[in-house]
Amino acid sequence: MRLCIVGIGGAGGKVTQEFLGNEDLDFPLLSHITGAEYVSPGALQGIWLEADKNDAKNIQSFFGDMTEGCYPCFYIPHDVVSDGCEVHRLVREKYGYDVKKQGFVRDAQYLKAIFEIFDTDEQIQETVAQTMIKEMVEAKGDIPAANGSSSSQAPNPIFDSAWNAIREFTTLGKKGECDGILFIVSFGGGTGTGFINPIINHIRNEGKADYPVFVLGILTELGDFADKAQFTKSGRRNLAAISALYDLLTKGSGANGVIIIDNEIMMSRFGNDYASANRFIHKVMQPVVAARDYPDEIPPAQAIAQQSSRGVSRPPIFVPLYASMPRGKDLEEALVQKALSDEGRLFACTPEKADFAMVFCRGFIDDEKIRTALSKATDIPFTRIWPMRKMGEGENEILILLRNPYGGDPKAYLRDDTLENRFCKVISLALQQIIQRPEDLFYEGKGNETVGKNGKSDQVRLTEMSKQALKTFFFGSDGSSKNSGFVFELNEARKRLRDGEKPFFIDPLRIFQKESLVSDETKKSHAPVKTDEEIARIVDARINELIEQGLIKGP
Amino acid sequence: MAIDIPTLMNSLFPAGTLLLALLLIFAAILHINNLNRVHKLMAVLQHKKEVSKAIFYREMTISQGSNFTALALAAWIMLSVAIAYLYLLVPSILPFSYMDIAELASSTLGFAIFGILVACLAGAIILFLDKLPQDHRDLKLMELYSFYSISKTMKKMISMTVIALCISVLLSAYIGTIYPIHSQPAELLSLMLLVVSAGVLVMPIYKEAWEARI
Repeated sequence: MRLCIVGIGGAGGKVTQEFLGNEDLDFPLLSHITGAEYVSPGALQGIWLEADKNDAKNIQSFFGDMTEGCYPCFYIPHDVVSDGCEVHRLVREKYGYDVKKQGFVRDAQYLKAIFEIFDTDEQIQETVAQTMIKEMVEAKGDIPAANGSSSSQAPNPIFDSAWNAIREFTTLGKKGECDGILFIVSFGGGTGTGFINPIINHIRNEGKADYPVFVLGILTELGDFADKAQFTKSGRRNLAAISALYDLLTKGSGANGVIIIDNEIMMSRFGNDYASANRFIHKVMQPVVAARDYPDEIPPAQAIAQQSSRGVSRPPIFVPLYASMPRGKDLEEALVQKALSDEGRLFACTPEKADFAMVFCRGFIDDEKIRTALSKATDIPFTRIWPMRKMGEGENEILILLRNPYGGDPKAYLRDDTLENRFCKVISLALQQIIQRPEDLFYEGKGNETVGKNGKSDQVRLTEMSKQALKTFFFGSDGSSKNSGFVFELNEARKRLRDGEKPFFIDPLRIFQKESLVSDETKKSHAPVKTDEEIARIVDARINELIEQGLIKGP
Repeated sequence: MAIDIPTLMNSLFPAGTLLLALLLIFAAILHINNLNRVHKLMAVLQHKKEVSKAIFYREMTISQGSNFTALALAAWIMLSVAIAYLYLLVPSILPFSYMDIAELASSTLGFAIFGILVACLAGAIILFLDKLPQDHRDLKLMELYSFYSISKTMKKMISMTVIALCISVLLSAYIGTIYPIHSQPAELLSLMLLVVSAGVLVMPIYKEAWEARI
């Protein structure tokens, strides 16, 4: 497995930087003589997707501009839409969204809306096809058809260009060698939460349904400590976080797994030392991304992706548990115990409730002993534990990724050390934000106004059509939040968490509907339309259940 | 008890020479032992009778970067040159020396020719070792560091040995120039730089052996 690390947004970029350091000595003159290439540990490659051009160009120095041929590089996706062009103007006039403003609006719905506008609005699609031929050729490598649709999906300059930038590092590109993608985002900012779902949807809609895509997300803390660092208030951060997670966890054909780290835990260890926290996240991920696999043992990313989402119809949550110890004999059980302890957990969870575990080991470790120790400690069946090993350096390390370690206990949400409790808190804060500051949802609050470089107000002024779409999205078609809408779904999810149900997010939601998907029957029943892949996953899950129950024989 | 300074000074050079020899010999033994130990461990941990050495080496090697590899290679060649300059330029230590070829040694580019010859010989040996079959990658000096995890600081230290070894060569050349007069401080300083550089060059091997001692 060789992953392409894609950091999105400010925090995502800083963590990505840790992964993409150059192993080689930086001597430009010598590099010229030896023809040295940039070598990252584990032969990783990657890119940073950012919306804040000033931050990318002037504040940081690690990443260079991809358009100037630099590596490691950043890419500003909305740069593909030039200021004041026909598409820019039309989207603003029709919907009120400024496609070049994302990231500064600290919520997840902004980019979701823009993605769906390009996905659904035929007039915008036609305009893209007619006025952005050069940009689309650069972004996608082909000219969109006259009716605005391409062979695979509607032309979408922002996400087409972003995917094009990433694809070059993957086996789907011409020279890329990465057989999977790991997106790194902060669940709490604007760019990461806004970009992560549209870009995954875009990859999947491009026909890359089976390409391995994982997400490593750092969930924002509860208090107001990060307000300054994230330029936004706690309620808004939690709303952005839960919006992004909702979309990630309900999209059946989305990511193959969402690895989630709690920034509360990071803060308890590192305080406001974000650099140390980022280094620690990099260290924790070493058993996954480092080089030196055991001979013929680590499968390609595709096999890991299939295994990680086998038997579940929606992208699973993976809670990471990490431990390291000096090398020694028969330390497997001690390593597992340490990882399962409070010291090792990077997100609150109930390990016994996990339905599957991937254990990435680094060092000289016996996989059978790891399986036995973990199975004994958590009651996860021996066959549902999948160890993968790499030769190590220094200490022995393990990273246990527990799949969906929650549910089945109606009282779990009352305990501080459970995933149910943590998600209930985030949902409550998000709902509180929606109720207390509904004007923020439409970018009408006082805090939403910023002054642009030209001195003019940069406030987003949505059109009535967009406001209505957002209102329906948040509060349902009747505006009551009693039958449908995001508020209704969040309340239902909280209820499910309190009842110990699994999963807790069920139905995917859209702001702008695709006409073809919204049949009258669907409208009546509020049942989501299932894709072929989702149906296949549900059938797959049911077959696995029957095999486990012994009703049918496995392959 | 009074310390006899001249005797102490006289014994420092042989002691240093012995240290240098032991440092390099033990490094070679430990390197082969490190790899064999991990290779055997793989078979045990993977519950296999044997793991193919070629596959094992393929998985174990990691790229350390072209700049580092080039500088490390230069450092090893310089180490050979520095050793040759210190021990073979003048007959003060060994009964034979480059000075035996008086005409060449005393020519304008005499010392330089000696250095270039030694460097070419070292390069030829390294190239020969590099042509060994895949099962013997442990003997390839060019791949030595790809079996170890080396920090950036360590890499910088290894690359800096080129400078230390250049100084050692210059000191040895000075000793050769003033010969038959002896300069004990110059000899000791040259040897010290050699020992320190050799120690830095083989440090990743010792570090791995130390970490794996349990």
